[in-house]
Amino acid sequence: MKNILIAAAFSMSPLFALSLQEKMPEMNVKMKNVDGKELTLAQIKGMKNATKGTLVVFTCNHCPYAQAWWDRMVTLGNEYSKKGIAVVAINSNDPQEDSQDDFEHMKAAAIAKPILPSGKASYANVKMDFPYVIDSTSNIAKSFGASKTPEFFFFNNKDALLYHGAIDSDAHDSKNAKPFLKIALNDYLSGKRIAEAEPKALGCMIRFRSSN
Amino acid sequence: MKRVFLTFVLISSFWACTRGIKIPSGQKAEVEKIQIKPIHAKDIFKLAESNNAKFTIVNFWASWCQPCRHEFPELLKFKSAYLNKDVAFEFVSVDFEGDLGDAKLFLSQQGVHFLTYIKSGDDQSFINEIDKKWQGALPTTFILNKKGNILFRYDGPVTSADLEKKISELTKSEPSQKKSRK
Repeated sequence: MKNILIAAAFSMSPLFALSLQEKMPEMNVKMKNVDGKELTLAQIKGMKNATKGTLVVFTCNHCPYAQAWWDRMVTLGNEYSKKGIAVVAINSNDPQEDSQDDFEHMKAAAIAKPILPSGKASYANVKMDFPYVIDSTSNIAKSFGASKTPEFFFFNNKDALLYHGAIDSDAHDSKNAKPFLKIALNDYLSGKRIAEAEPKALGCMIRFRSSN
Repeated sequence: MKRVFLTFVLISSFWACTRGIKIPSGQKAEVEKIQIKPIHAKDIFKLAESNNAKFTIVNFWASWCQPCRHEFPELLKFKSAYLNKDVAFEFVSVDFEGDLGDAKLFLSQQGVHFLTYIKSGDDQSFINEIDKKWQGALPTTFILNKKGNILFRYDGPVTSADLEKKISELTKSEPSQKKSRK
C-alpha cells in the first residue's frame, strides 16, 4: 500500500465512521418503525431481554448490494435477536432519490412480500423479527459515520463499538462467503476477542436527506 | 456438430456478459468495441506514476449505481477540459463479474472510446489496498499525485466545480516535480 498523504484540506467530503470502542450515538432520537410505532435506539436496546449488545444495520431497499445481502442480514438478525442481542435495521436514504427506499417498500421488505413491479422474485424472502426504522433526517447515519448500505455496527452491552463493516466476504456467493459478522458475534457471545473487527465490502453511498 | 457447439458457446458467453440487460441490436457493435481491462488495486497507483501528469483522478463507479451514472457525464467533460493541463483521469468500474456487459453498455452510451478498467480481486483486499479509510461506498473519487500517493478522496458524487477547485488548491500546495520518463 502506498503512503497516504492526507491533505490539510481533507475535511469536506470524506466520511469518518465511529472508531472501535466509541460509544453508540444518538440513542434517544425517535425513528418510525415499519409497524408505525416510534422507537429510539435506547428502547430497541431494552427489547426482548436484549442484554448482551446491539447490532445496528444501515441498509435500504434500492441498492443491489443491500438486496444481495438482504436475506442473509435478516436471517442473521433474527437468529441473534433470540440470543440476547438487540437488532435494528435503519434506512437513512432519501426516498426522493429512489422510491424503492420509501416506507411502503420498507414495510413490504420487512414482511418478505414480493414488491418488484417487474414481477421478478423479490430479494426479500425472510420475514424480519426485528425493527426496520426510518432515519428521517439521516442524522443517525451521519452520527455513526455510516457511508453506505449495507453497513453493520455491533456494540457490546456497555454500548462500545466492537465491530464495524460487512456481514460477510461475498454478496453473491453465500455458500463460499466468509461470515465475518457471525464469527464476530459468536466470539463475543463466548467471551472471546473479536479477531476480525473491521472487514470491508463495497456498497451504495447513503443518499442523505437534505438538512432543510 | 462442432458448429452447433460453437454457436451455443457464443450465445452463452454473450448472455453471461449481459446479465440483467438487453443490449439494443443497433448498439451491439459499439458495445463490443469498448475496452475495459481488469486491474488490481496496486496497479491503479502505478497508473498514476506512468501517466506522467501532475495529478491523476481515479473515479470508482458501477453500472448499477445511480449517483455514479449521474455524475459520469460531468466527469467526462472535466477529463476533456483538463486533457492538456497535467491532469489524467481514470475510470475504474467495480461492477459485479457477471455485469461486465452492463458496464460496457453504459460506457458505450457515454461515448467512452478510451481504455477504462474493472476491479480485479476480492472487495475487501481491493478497498484496503486503495485506502484503508475508504469504507467501500460508491461513487468515490480519488486524486493522486504522480508518485501514486492519495491527496484527496471524495465520498459520494463529485462535480466539475469540486474537482477544479481542489486541483487548483493542490496545484498551489503540491511541489512541482520534474516529469519522469515514460
